[in-house]
Amino acid sequence: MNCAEAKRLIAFTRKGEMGPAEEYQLAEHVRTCPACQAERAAFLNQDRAVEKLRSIVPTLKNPEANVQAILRRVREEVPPQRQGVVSALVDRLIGALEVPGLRYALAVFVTVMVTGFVIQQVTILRSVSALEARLAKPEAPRIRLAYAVTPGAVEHLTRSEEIRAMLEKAGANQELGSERLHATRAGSIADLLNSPESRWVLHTLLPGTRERGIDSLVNELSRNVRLVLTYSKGDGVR
Amino acid sequence: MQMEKNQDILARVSRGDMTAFGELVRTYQSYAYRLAVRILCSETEAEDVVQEAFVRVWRNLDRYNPEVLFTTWLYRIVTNLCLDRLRAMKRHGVILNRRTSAVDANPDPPSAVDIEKAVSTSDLIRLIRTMAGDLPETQRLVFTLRDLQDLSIDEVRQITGLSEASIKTNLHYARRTLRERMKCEYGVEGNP
Repeated sequence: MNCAEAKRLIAFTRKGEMGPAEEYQLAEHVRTCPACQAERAAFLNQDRAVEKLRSIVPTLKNPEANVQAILRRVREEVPPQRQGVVSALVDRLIGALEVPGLRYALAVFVTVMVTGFVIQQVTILRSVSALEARLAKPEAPRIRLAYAVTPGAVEHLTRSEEIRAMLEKAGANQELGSERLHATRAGSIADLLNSPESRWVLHTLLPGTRERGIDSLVNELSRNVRLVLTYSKGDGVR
Repeated sequence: MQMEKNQDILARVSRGDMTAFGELVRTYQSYAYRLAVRILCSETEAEDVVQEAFVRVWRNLDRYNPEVLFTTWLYRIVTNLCLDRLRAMKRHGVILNRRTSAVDANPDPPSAVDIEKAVSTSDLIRLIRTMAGDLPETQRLVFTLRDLQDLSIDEVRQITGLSEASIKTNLHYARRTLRERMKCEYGVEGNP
């Protein structure tokens, strides 16, 4: 190490400011160079003087008064509880509630929302209860209805003159009296009679009758379904 | 143990606990005050900076990184406030150098003070002003943090944001300037 290099390091008098290798090289140079030795000694002496300054510790004259002053400033300048997004939103909401109109509007809104929620929950609970009750019951036996309507039965049950006239026309086809309408599902009588199969049978029973006439017959039969069932005890319907 | 206690206090403060904040201020205000006095060379200004620093701590605690020492974070806040204050004082013509009687200055400072006899804060302030008052800002800051506040190079780096090389360079020039000044004014020589 030469003097120029030594001057670069010579002011570093405190621990941790030089690496071990630099420290060793500087010490070796200073040992053999009187000028650098004097300068190094001056810096070390200065370090001792600064150390004396370091030992003077400034202290607050009235620490507690300073604490109180800080707390006062914090209370005045910064709103409390401002940490986090949620707290900030709550603070903002509370601030907005200072406006009377908003306060009442919010109260109404909250009341409506709470009432709606309660009604919805009660409805759901009742539905669930009903479903549970139904599930708790043993399964009801399936009812299978079978209708068989003969032309004779149709003749009895209808009071419509038009249909009666149509049925009289059908008298020539009494041999088709054995034709029966079958249905194996419990649906409305209108659906039953209005099915393509039933209509075909009616067309067969009442040759020459128009679609409109069949429609009227079906409607009439549908309206008199109770009569059909009543009549079924006697003739043609089982 | 101290670290855990600190974390507990800081957690309480972050929840808005004013009592915990008071405890935090009582624990750390002396650290902040020492640094502020050494940088500003004014007890009044230092008290004001300490108050402002803790208000900033309260406001910005959510930005505090727990991996850094709380004192380091506090020193950074204090340092920034002190530099702002020094610049403002400079703009208003209050220059803290050895030739100017500035805030809190003794109206009749001694021309030669024996460092060994210095004991009070006012002695310290007078000596720092005389020795380092007119150093360039960065040199003065590095000298104060490293030599007067006794912080490590790494802590100085975290507080100032300077690189290690820059810190060493500024320290080198600051000590050289001080050496010349101490030699002529206080008779500190190489041969004890």
